[in-house]
Amino acid sequence: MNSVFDELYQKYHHDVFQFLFYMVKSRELAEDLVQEVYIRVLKAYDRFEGKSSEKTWLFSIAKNVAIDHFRKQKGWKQRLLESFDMSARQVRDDQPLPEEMALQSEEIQLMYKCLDQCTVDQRMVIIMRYIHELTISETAEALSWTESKVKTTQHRALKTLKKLMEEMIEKEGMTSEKVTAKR
Amino acid sequence: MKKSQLSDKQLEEILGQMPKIKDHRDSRDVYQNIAHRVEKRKKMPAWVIPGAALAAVLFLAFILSPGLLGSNYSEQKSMDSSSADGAKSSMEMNTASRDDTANESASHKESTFMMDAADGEAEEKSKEIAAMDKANPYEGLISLYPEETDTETSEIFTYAIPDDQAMAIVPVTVTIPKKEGKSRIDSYTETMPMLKEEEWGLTDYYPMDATWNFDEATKTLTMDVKQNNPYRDGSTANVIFVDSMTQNLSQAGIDKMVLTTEGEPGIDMGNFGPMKELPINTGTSKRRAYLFLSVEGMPNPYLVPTKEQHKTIGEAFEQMWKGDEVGYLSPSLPDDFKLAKTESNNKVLEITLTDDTALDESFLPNLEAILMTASEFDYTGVRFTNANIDQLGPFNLNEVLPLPLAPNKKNIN
Repeated sequence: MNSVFDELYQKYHHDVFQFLFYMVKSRELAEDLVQEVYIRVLKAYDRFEGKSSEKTWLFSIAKNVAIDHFRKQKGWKQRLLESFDMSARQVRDDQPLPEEMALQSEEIQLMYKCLDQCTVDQRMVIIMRYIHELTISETAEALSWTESKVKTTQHRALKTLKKLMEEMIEKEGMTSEKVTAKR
Repeated sequence: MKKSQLSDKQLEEILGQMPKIKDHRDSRDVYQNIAHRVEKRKKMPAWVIPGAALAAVLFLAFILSPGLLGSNYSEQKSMDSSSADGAKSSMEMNTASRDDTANESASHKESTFMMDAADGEAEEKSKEIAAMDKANPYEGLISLYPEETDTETSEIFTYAIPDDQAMAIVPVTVTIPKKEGKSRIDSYTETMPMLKEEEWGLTDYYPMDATWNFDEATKTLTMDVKQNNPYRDGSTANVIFVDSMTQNLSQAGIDKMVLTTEGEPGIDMGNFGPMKELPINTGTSKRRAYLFLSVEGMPNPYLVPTKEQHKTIGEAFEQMWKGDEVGYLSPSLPDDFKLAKTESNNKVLEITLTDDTALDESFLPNLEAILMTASEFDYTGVRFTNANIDQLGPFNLNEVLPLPLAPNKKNIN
């Protein structure tokens, strides 16, 4: 087996996998995408200059893989979902929770559902900053953003999540028609 | 929880409690899935395919470029070589005669010496030297002449050899010392491996991949080839084969040639179909014209017979002015060489030149082409009338000129 692969796997495999999982919310998809990350990493490893840390470099590649995946998907599915925005949310909300989530508290389950109603940028920042506990500068490096862009995106993401969470808590027990009407 | 109660801190806490998600797969399984894509690319760098394409292009260019330069080049070459051949080739042929006629070696050695000294000087000098010594005056010439060889002691073999483009078949003549108790056929086949086709600017063709057997009583030569013999493929291969065998054997005292493939009768000859026997036409005159084929690095052009047979020598001369149909062989007579008349007088070809035809030394190869062509028309000699010079190379134009025995002599020792 490739020694570079072995080393990267030992150090970062679960981090990369988890990041992708929270981005795409599917174990199978995350498994495919993590492989794509390795392929890109191994092809480009000779050119890795060590300007950034290995960890943020891997995250930046994982980010690109995830974005590419969304772009590909957008072809037919996303466009359809966007045109029927409300039903789209419904469909997503009805996705079964993965087993890891089913065991968690209600709050966490709600948060998990709210996550994919943020924009892709916001989701990336939230996952990196709070789930992976990267610093602002690490996140900026992984996303090739400025630190201030990380900060503002993070701020907006929390605002969005707060709003979504509150809405969800409020609507508990309510029918979906009422939520729609309220908006 | 109420609407206004969620602070950033609480949100961050919830996010921090999100479960850790793990990939349950083993690292080896993951690597297995990506190995084919990672490793394959490494084995084949990006330059391989363009590199291979470039190599192919260069290879094609290499093969095609001589063909593109082809005919123009050879014509020019024939003009160049005809003027420059004398001195150069006399050197080369010195060595030939030294070995050929062992009984005259003493006088020859001396002449070789003399020729070396006169090397840089013009053709007239060599004529004087020829007169002084009994050196072979025909040495620098293209064809083999009766005076320069003793048929009692040596065998003359003419092999038909394809040129380097396999477009023409060049008859090449070699002389080897006769050996006691050895049949002509044996000597003929044993000489094949000694031919230096590539050195002569031709295609390596001999020895032939065949077993030979000659029955003295019936004068039948049997040639046995393997199943995958090279003579069946492609029109050129078998045309060359049939041509070369008929040319080779026409004077070998053979009545019949039988062809077999691994003991079974017949050889599949492609164009000709299966052939069990090869007709050997003995004695009949072939009536072909001889044209020039210039080969790079050779002092003289080769004399190559045409495929066409001509009714009269006049027609043959016409073709010698024109060259062959496809333009591969170049003309062997210059435009400014004009005939007033040709006639046959007691088997001697009488050629009368027009008053404005001026011959010089550079005409020597052309003269050889005339002599070689005349030899195909049952003449015993050629005499010129109204030639402006008396002597051309070894030939005295006031006398009847001898006809050559065979074209394109080469030394194989």
